[in-house]
Amino acid sequence: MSKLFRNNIAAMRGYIPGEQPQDSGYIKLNTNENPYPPPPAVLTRLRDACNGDLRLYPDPDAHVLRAKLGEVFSVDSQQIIVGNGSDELLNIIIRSFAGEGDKIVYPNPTYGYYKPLIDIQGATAVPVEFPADYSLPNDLAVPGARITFLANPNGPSGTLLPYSQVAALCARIDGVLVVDEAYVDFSQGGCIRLIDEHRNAIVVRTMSKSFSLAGMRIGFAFAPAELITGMWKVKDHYNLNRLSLVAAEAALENIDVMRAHAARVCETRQRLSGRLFELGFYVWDSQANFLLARIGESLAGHDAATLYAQLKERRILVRYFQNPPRLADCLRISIGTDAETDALLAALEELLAA
Amino acid sequence: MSVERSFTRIVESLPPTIPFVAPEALERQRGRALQLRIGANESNFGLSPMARAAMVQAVDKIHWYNDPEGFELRQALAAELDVDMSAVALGAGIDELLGLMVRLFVEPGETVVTSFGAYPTFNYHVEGYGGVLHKAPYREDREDLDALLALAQKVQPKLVYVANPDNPMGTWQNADALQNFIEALPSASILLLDEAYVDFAPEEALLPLAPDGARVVRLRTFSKAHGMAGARIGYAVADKEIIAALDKIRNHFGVNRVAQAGALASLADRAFVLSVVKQVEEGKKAYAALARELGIEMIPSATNFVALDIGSGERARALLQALLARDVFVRMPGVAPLDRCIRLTVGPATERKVFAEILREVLPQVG
Repeated sequence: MSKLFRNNIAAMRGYIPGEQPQDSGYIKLNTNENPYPPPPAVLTRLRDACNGDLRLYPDPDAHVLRAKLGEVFSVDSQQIIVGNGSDELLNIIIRSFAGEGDKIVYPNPTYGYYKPLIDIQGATAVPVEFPADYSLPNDLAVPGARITFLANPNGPSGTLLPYSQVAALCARIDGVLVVDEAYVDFSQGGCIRLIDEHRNAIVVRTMSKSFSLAGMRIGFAFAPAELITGMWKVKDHYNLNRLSLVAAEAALENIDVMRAHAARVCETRQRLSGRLFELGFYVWDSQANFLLARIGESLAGHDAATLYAQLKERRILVRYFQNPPRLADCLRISIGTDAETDALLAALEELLAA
Repeated sequence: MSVERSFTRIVESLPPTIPFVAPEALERQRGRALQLRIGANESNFGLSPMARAAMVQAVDKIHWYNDPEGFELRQALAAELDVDMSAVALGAGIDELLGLMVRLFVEPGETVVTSFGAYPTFNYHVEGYGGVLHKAPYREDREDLDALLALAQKVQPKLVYVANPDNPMGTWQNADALQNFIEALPSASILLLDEAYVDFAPEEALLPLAPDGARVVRLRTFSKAHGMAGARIGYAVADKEIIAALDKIRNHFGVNRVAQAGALASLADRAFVLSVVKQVEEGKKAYAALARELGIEMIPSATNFVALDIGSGERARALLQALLARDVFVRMPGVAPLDRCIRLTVGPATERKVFAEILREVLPQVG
């Protein structure tokens, strides 16, 4: 049977998503979900939408949602495409702009899903190592690149590159620049205006993080209309279901709540980061709803893998990356509520004192 | 950079069209709401109350990611179908799964076999991945297994597409005939068996599920009998090696949390689905009577829709337009000779009555 598959698929490894235990009782600080639920108005709208209208296919144009997105972000709806999570949009982008063997560049380490999506397409992944401080790599403009992915803020470092650097990169690269802004609402950044200044810019966002809708899979992307038109040619037409459309529309109508939640997350992040430094970790300057903490020299004798396992025993999940080696002494910690953060800090204090 | 050359050759070559004009787009174009939406075979019998309750409850946790493995739903489907869980994969509707299957098996330039007038979304995906379609004609309003087999033996396709029961005609294949067809297919071909309407099919059309080692992928959905098209839930049943490969490339979180909960509950509510199937049966009888009354032929159907033979493509198109002028949305097959029919979804009695009245008025107008 296996010889029937396309060669690149037979050869590739699959993607392993972060742990998603479906039982309660864990403090989940491992997959960057928002600790604050969506506003009650969104939940109410969504509960109301669980009705007989679900017999109907969703609007393949997502007309209402795209109009609302256009209004909120001051973008023409012709410059907007929505997807079943930003993962689907990343997939659509790769299919649209990179054929087999074409180069797709990204700084590394970054979001772990780019590589499998590139492999699925049979394109060539060109990772460029980030400097230790996660500033823009000098050699990111790779000749002949069809796509360059830039997660900004980046995962797992949480670091943010300023607009001026992103714009300059966009101007000098070959192919399209995809700025993945999954976490941008937890920062002071944002590159949407790139699409008016650069014909090769795509900005991708999601409602999984700041909008607290991880379970509803809503992604959206902004790009010059010419690029959107092409991406539309390969999009599964009923890609975004009715429930997610309703949730997304309601979330935009209540965007102030999202902003307030994001501000709370940023405050907690500040506090967590400060305390982790005091405990002996090095923490990169995060502009996301997670942070990356490295075991500092004063914590000799401790290691990240053990801490991860010990926290898990205490029903606290954080993310540990065995690979690449530069992350092996780090933990990525999502920003939870203040109470969750206190629980994490108490556990860490105890474990590190032991 | 030159944006002119930014798309891949495949994408450049694709037409800027989508397989269907959506009813929402019709409404926007006309600036008027539709009165009857019976063109997309959505189940106008609605949703299981158990599914609704489960979905409302699932809303509580939507700030958490959904289960990327769809474990509970796959487990329940496996139990229901009496297959191993490793033989079942979820997708955001059959449409998404069709696209993934093309991606799994078809390199650009490789061949795929289907029928003239069969499901356009499948063709859309094949072209979207640069595959080359070869088509066999229908025979007597059914997909012609002999012709498909002859074509497959000639072009040695990676994939062969058959819908059973069929869409857009509503006809069905006998399980034995399908089994013989599968056994005779070239050894490098996989059959995609689209069973979107299987809940409405007669016993004789039901090919037993035996995924182990079979070069058949069965595709099913919650969009029809379960009345959940808007939630986008489909599944594939196939040999575990195919499912494992699919798992590498699928959109892992693609079936959202609320949809998974709804599907799980709907699956448990057998009485609901049976009642939908029964009401569709009654509806088909009613439409058969209407067709007799109006002197037109109704193609026997194993689905939740019927194809009414209007005599010619020209007349069918005229009728489609006349119905739309009365705010009735129906569809019709895209190619001759199937396009002599219009295809309408079988809904509840109230809806059928409204349609019957309108059809009686407009049919004489189409010459």
